[in-house]
Amino acid sequence: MSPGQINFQMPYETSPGPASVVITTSGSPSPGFSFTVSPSAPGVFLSGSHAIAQNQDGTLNDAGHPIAPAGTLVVYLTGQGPLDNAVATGAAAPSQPLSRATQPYSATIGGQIAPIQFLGLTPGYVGLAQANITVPNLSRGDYPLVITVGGVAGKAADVSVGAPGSGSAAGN
Amino acid sequence: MTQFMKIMKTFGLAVLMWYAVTNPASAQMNDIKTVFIIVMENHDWAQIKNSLSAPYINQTLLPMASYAEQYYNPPRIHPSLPNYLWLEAGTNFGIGNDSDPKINHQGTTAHFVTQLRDAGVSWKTYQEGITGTACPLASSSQYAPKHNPFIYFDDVTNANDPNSAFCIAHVRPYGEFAPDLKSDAVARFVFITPDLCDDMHDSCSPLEDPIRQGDTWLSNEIPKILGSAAYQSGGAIFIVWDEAENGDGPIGMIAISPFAKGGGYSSTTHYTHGSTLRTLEEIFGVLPLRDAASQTDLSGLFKQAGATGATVAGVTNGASFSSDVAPGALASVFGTNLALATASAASLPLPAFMGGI
Repeated sequence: MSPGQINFQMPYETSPGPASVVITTSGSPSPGFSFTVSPSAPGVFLSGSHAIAQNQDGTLNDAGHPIAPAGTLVVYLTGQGPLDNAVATGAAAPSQPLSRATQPYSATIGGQIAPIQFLGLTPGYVGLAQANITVPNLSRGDYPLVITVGGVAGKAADVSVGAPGSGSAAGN
Repeated sequence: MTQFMKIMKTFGLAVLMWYAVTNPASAQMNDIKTVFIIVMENHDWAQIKNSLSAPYINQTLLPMASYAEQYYNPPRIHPSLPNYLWLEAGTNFGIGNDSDPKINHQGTTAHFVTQLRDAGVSWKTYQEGITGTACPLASSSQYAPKHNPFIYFDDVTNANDPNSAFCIAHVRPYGEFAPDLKSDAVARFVFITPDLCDDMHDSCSPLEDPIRQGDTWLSNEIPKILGSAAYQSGGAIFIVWDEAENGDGPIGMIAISPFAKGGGYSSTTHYTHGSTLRTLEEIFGVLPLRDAASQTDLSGLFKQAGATGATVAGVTNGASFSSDVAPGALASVFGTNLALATASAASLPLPAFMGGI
């Protein structure tokens, strides 16, 4: 947190719908600020307009490290919505059992369906989710990735795709 | 994943906390409704502050707290018992040893918890290591009477009666504290004495590091208080050391409260145990006793009325910064005066309170 920004985890106990946040600083409460909480709100972590995602070889996906078609891209996001195995607010997600998103989800890269193999919380982290996505057959270039959960489409984030059988997808 | 964490830090998202909506309250010390005081043992502030053995105090508590840099035990008052008596009565009654109540008991009713009783304010002490089946007038295992000032007063113990119902009702095992917190059944004045391993007094296995033992204990126990209704609806936690290891101090005094200035605020005002007693007496509206009447209270650690509050300008998804947020998601609040300083959570689970926020 800082004087201008506080990063926090929205409590799991918050009900979807109208909400109000009050920041109390050393006993002085701010006026309430109204906003809306959605059941799900997928948001991919960004570096500029590029998604923060790991290629199959562990490198960070970018123009210099694209992933080949058919490779598995691990995209980091938050706001996946309800989970099959609940985690306490503020607590790190466990690895056993995994917590998977229960609402319908899908992804597209460059407008093409990109199958999601796993969407759920990243073990060891708070409020952090990951989507393991199979990259569709696309030519080399940057493409918008859109993840949709529970009918709510997240903001598009670019991912870099390389030539088939080359680059970070080698060994897939 | 390591690479991911680097990226997270780049974007400031390693700084995470979950928020709590608290009730509006005035920003004055005198608006405190419930006091929790925890007494630690036998270390100079210089041994605690920045100590690698005290990561919870230094990385979590101090950034959210107000604390004193010049807090002393009363001049040449040692060992433990006279300092505990001073916190309760503003004097050591001439006592300069740690003997049990059968030797050092006092007949006066002029002491703090009797002031509270007369004012209709509830109080209770939670002592780690007692059974709760008798008034604990003698040492047992890691419990030491010398760290429990209340049992030195005849009006509490019915003159050293181990079966004193009043004593037994007010001097309770620490194990009852968490359930009382959870059921919102704590008294308005709560005095907590960890046992000799947990209050930094003794070196105990497996850590064999008194400071780390106490720091670990605080890291386990303070979050329970912070998460309680009693704290969130107007509580204050004071963590104070009884006496210096070298001379008279400085020793530690940490104040955590929605009403405290917080944010790691430190004061160089000269304080003593008389200051703490005076502060407690002011909070509960009773007259200062003995030395407390001539000491400076701890109001300097608390926020004064009329301070500028925070203004929230927006709430966003913590990843994409779109307006979509969901339960359990990481999110960001933007605005002005949201915090007194920059701070980040040092451990999991994420704290509900940080830096006075």
